[in-house]
Amino acid sequence: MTYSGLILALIVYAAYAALFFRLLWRILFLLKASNLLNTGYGRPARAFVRADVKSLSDIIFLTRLLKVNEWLWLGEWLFHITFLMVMIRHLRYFIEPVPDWIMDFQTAGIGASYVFLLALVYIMAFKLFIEKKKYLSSYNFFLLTLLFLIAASGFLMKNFLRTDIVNVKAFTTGVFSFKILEPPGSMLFLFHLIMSLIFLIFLPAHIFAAPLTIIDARRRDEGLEKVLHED
Amino acid sequence: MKGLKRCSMKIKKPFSNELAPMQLIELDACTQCGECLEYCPVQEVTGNTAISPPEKIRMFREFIRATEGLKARLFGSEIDDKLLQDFVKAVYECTTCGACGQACTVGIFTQRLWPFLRKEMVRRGLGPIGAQAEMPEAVRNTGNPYDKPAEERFKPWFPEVVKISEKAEIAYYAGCTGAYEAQPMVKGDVIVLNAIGVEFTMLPPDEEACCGFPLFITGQHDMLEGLVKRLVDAYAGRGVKTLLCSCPCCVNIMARDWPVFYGRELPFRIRHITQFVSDAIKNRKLAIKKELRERLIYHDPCYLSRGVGITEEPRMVLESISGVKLLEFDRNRANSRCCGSGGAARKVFHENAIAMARLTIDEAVVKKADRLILSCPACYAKVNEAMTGYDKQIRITDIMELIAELIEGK
Repeated sequence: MTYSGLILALIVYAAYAALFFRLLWRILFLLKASNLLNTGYGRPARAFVRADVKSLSDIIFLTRLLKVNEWLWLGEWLFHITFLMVMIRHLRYFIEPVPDWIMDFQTAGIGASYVFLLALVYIMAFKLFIEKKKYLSSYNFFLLTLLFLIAASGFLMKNFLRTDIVNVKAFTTGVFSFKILEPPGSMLFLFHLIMSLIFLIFLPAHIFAAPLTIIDARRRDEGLEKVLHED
Repeated sequence: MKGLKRCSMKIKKPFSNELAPMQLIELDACTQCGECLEYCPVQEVTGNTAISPPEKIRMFREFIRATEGLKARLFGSEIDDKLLQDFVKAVYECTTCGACGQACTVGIFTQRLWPFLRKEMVRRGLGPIGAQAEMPEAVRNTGNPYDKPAEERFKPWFPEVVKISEKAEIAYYAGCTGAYEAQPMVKGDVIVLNAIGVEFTMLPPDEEACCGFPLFITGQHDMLEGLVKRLVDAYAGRGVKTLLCSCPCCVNIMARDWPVFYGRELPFRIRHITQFVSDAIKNRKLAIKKELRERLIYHDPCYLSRGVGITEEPRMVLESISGVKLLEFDRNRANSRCCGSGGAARKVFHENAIAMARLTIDEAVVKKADRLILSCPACYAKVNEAMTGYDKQIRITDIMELIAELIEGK
């Protein structure tokens, strides 16, 4: 074990602990929330198989965004889907032995990482220069910037300043099995990792909450007709 | 700001008490994308992003974090007084039309969320603001939020030819705004019901009190249970099976919230008047024989379209008039634009309401409509008011007022 490895491992543990406690606190907060009928009695019953199937498509294809802004949708959908693909591709750095399907996914994952970077640039440029939005959330721009830095450093590591991925994997698996090794010497890798950990700490809550509200909205839309047409 | 109470902060009190779990999830779900701003009528007329829907949600999240977050529990925290005042202004300047929720990319039910955020402000003594604060006392004293005498509720407009029964399966609720502020509308309602030939009952003027909506929407819920129980029991005592009303706000609270305040399912069903009239036309109980060679444009009230899903019946009624060409606003049905009178904001932010109403007038004029057809007493009163001193003019008629005109003229 080296000091640099230990410090880096402690940063990783701290980031994961922060995320864990944040989520735990949120779950406890929601569990103790009062059981009020704020949405009204007329809200439809819970038997909504058809609505829930449709809401799955709403979540996967971001159809609510598509309805209001198709150009932004294009960037956001590509961003979300490629983000997921990049995450799946990265599993190979955390799992040993690596399942065949993850190995088979690598080519698609690498392709997705390029699209991911382009989608991020597109979203930022679209909001800032093309649409010239009146409302820009500083928190969103902070997250987009973080993701851009993560994606750009990943791009550089893959194509120009290559990092020894055997060392990377040895270090990451070591951290998660509490056998801390020397971290890879690449500064770019360290930057990529630290930015990723900062993103983890500031992970936007909508990742967990938005799918639930999208399901609820679809149920509400399907049930609206029944509020005064119940017979 | 005028009417805004000075903040007396008790920051240890949790901010989440008035919210259901799904509403707390909705606060988390907002991505701050800002897409809703394009649909927000307050944004259209003020351009003030500080009072926009994502800003309101961001501020409320701050309050929850400051009082119930892990850091606050461990180390204590303070809420910025200015932020709290900004929030109160933002949440009460909103018309609660729900257009932001309709366009929300993650489906937040804002038409319901804003009133409950207001309720939290009332609980803290920070809301309501301006004239809204006088409504509970007015309802207590006179039965209506306008503080008008109960004996004048029906007398100025109720047609002598229309007879009402003591008891009947059908009841008609005029509502305070219709009875005091949009009388041609409620007069039209009863004339049309009379023409259909249906036996109907009404509560006497001193018993037909406020439905509770203005109190509900401004977050003042204390009197609601009593009001609702009195009204429901009074209608049940008259053998009512169907309660008709033309006011979208009344219909909304009746269908969605009366059962909650009543404590169980209502002993009668709620129907909007256009549902009843369109059924009567279909069943040939009502025939509109007089022709009307006009281009009509129909405005969907927020609490009727987005609120309870009534969009087709008014169009069916209008299309049943021979000679009529029905036009549509660019934003129609569930996507309609607020006329500016919603959420009791008009009582405080009068200029906003007038400016919003004029956007509706402008579009109706651009589309070369002969008449703007409304079906909400608040819209009716505010859009008519917005015409005063405005260079663009259009004839404004309530949907039942129009049908009554055509029936009476036969």
